[in-house]
Amino acid sequence: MDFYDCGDVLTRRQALHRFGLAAFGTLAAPLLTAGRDASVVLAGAPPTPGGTPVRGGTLALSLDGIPGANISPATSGVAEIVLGMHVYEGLVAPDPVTGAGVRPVLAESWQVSPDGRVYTFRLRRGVTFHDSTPFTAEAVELNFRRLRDPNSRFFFKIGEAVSNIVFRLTDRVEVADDYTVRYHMRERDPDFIYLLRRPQALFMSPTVIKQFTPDEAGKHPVGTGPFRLTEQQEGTRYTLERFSGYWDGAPYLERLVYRPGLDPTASVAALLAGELDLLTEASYDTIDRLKGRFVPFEWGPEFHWTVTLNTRHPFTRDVRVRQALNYALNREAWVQGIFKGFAKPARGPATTGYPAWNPGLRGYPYDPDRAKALLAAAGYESGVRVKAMIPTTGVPLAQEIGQSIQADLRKVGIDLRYDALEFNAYFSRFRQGLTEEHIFGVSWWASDFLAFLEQQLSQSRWPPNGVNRGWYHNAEADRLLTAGREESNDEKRKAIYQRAERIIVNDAPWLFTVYFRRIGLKSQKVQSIRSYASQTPDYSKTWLKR
Amino acid sequence: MRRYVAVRILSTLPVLVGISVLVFALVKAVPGDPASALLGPEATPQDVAMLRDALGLEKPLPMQYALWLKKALAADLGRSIQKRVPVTDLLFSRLRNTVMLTVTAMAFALALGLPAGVLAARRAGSALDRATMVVALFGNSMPVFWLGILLILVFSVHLGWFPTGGTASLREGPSFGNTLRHLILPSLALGLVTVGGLARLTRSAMLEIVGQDYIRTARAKGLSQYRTIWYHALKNAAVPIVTIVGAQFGFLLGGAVLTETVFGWTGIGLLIYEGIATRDLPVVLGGVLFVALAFVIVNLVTDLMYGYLDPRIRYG
Amino acid sequence: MARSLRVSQTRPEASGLSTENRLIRTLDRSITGRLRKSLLSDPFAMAALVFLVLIGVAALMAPQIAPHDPYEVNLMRRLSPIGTPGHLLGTDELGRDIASRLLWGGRISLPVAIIPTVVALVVGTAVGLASGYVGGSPDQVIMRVLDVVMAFPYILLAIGIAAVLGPGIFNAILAVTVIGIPVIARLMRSTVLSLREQEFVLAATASGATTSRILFRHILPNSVSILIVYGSLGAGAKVIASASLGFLGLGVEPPQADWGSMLAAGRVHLLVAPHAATVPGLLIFAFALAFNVLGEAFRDALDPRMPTS
Repeated sequence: MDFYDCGDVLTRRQALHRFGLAAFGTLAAPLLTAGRDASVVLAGAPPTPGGTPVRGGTLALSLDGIPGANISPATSGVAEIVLGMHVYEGLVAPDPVTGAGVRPVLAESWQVSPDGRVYTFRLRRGVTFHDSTPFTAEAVELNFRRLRDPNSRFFFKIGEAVSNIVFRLTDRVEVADDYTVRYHMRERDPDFIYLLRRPQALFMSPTVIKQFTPDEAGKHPVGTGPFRLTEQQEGTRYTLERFSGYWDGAPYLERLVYRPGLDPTASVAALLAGELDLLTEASYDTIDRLKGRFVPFEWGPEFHWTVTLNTRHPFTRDVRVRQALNYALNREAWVQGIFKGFAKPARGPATTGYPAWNPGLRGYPYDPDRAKALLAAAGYESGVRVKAMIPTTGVPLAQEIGQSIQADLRKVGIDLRYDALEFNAYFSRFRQGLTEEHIFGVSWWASDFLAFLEQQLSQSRWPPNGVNRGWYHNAEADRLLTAGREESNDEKRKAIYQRAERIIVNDAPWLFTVYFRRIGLKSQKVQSIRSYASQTPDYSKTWLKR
Repeated sequence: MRRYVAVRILSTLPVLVGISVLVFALVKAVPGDPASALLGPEATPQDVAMLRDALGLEKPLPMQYALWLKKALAADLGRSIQKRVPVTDLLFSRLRNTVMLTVTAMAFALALGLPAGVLAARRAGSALDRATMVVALFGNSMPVFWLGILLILVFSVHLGWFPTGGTASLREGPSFGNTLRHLILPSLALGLVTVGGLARLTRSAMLEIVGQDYIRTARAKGLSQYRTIWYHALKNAAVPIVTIVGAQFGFLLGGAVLTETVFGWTGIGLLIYEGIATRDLPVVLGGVLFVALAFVIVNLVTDLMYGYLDPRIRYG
Repeated sequence: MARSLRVSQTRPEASGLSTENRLIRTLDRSITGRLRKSLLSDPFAMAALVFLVLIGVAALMAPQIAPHDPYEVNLMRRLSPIGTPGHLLGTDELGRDIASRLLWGGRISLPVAIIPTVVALVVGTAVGLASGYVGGSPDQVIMRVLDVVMAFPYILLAIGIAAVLGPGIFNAILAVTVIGIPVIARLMRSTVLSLREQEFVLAATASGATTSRILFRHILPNSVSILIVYGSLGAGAKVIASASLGFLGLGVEPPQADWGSMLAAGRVHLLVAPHAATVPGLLIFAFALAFNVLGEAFRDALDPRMPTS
């Protein structure tokens, strides 16, 4: 899975419980059918519906998991990241409506050098941290060195590993003047800007960094974000208060209060009882049932529920088999039955949020007869028994979708069994790449940056260097993906990736399943929730109707 | 006897060490590691290796254990890998919640179980006796998490009498009344699954005592039934009851994990459970040792009481 | 606990003992006789036994009597309520018939309740007898080891074992067995300690009986009652323990059904479709209750003074 713009970790709570995702109802249906039409407005996102914003009030929320006291940008616990995203900001953030793309936050503008290796950012002026330290290039550089420079006396060793996913290719940060910084890359990385949305790229106050030891600094969360973390009662309650000096205007809400550790069922009960004002996620059935009293809202980018096929396994090595498996899936039934209409059938690896989305690309329709024919051609006429791996917890709807896949494959003569592993054990294994035991593994990824296809399906990204865990390789596709990386013209880049995608869809290295977004439920009085990132919505413009 | 006590107290230490080795081995044996848990599904094996190194997980296992043991003996239980805070801090902040839950649950169990047991003993063999025992058994037959869910459904969602979970209200400030309201349902759930055992024990202890000679003597001397039962018998039944209550405490401390999960009651049980999920070894070690220490002490007291109660049981 | 065992109920040769020990049941001395008598006179126990037998038979005959294929997924009919035509107990989160899954689930949940009980009894008895009879330092060492296992919070130990071994029936059985052994061992040990000093044992030793003869002919038979009682009560606890494992995701692999996993899967939908969790929960409850009631009846039949907890 890839919550690409925020938080790369699902631990603890997600590891403890499955979370059901929710579907959104009629409110979001227009958004779905309109694809990436940016003019479609998500109900409640901009401040206009509902009236004039009212200042004041407390928003009561549920936190998945229990955070520790260390809330810094390079932390990696889910709960810590949620809190941190209200406190810290980075140079850029996703679009507040679609949860995808890039918009300026602490950077006003940026340019990329022709060779793609130097990113120059002009920083926003007049921004201060919660402790009144001004935000300048020094803050940017110090935060970078804290995570990436082993020689710095502020070096946070653990942060280095945690921030690898963002700064793997970044060599150094240069301060040109007080409000200009340059990131120098070791290699060309045209999508680096997307990485800067992640939690590891957010900024702590340089005063805090200088004042405390690396481990202690996280206990004093001071950022430039709309809320300040003012109270942490471990395991009981976490309070964030409005930062009146916020550069984008002080939030309407006076405070956010989080209750940690509630499991999904209890959260819904709490919402019903009025103890919580919103849930950032709930099961689709719950949303379907409660959408009268409460308002569904979607947030975050679109994800693909990814089933990575093992191209080294004797069964799925054969492209005909992989295509057959794709024909065997009754995606529409899943969308209606499991997601209650709140998802779209997938046709290729990239979701509708993909910048090079190709409306004309056709995927695999539901055609069990064709599947059987292909399987027979590949020599599996009389059926076959295979195994796949699946996590018991942590991946949304793993059980439902996993067993639906089983049922669909059974109809074409495939007896599929699962090795079900607990979340942590599962990903420890899956990370290394699929072995000859399993025909697939599952995860979920967002794809709102062009190099997504390369990240997932290039041979250069085989484990241990990447996430191409099914060992897929296609020489022609690889050639295109590399060319896409090298191309500086955006339109040409998109065309290249579209060609690559066609090859990939034909090769079917994945089971293409569904696209879905995170869906929450809010009480009627909550207005204007923005899509900030994939771990938490953005409440900086949220207000409560009286 | 005194020698026995001394030996038992001294032998507590190897028990604790044994427990720590068992926990260490168990957590290390579970597939998956804390670095993997920290970085999440997206990270590559390379990233995980780098973090393992930064966390000191690359050292050989016996060495990791020895390092931990050395610090533990100096009362330093290390730092949580996941949360980067000292384990002792975490334990203490959760201790209050766990103690509150355990004590209140036991109070419920006693308040319901003792009278039930006495009642059943008084009417031994009757339909009332049978019925009381069956009802007492109800609680023992329910998974506590299921009972918890039902209680939430009825008393929180439908009736709205109690909050649905957590240890404190989000909107109000902390107060005694606030905490009490959050405490009632989880301790009721935990208490109800314990009450059956207490009721049965009380009943049989009472029956045994009532048959004893000295009770018959008291009745022969003319003491009323009420005084006989309540005064003499219950006093003497208190001893085995206390023994079992003590044992149940130890059980409750560690076994409250499921209750804490369902109600979001952040106590030590939940801490250990989270620790296992994230392979946060220092946390699991610290938490389990704490619970184990309590349990071992209770066991020691129990065994000593056996010796006190029945001189026929000799140790040596 | 051991102190209230009455020795002379089963062995006539022990009748020459102190008055305190001479509470002989007048009607029938054999254990089975007393059990039968108690069952016949106790409606609850009878009902419990009948229920267990019914469940056992139903589970055995699941392939024949289950109305639907337990694995048949029907996404259009997810979470249908109780009484839906064709699905008497409703359907689960994938549209599978709950009644059928419960029947088939019994084939997993029943062995996971019974096998660990039996194994824990056997192993625990062996360990406890040996340790108590031999005494001395081996006894102390064994007791400390048992302390270690017992002090470990039982649910976490089960989680740990199941997490190491992975999900699956056999691993669940193993996890549940291990946590059941120390209680029996301690119990047997204190029984032995208590009986060891009794006159009939001393008499047997004096007349030249070997250790094993003493253990098997004298001590063990007097412990049978306790074992029966604890065994049946323990079965109830093990049902719940295995349901807890299933609840925590460590039960059987999908799409197999065991009652604990069904409860877990249904819990997510509790506020929307309560039957998905309530029905398996009720079955677990009834099952554990039946064992507990039986155990209680056995205890009453064999020795009402035997304390249980």
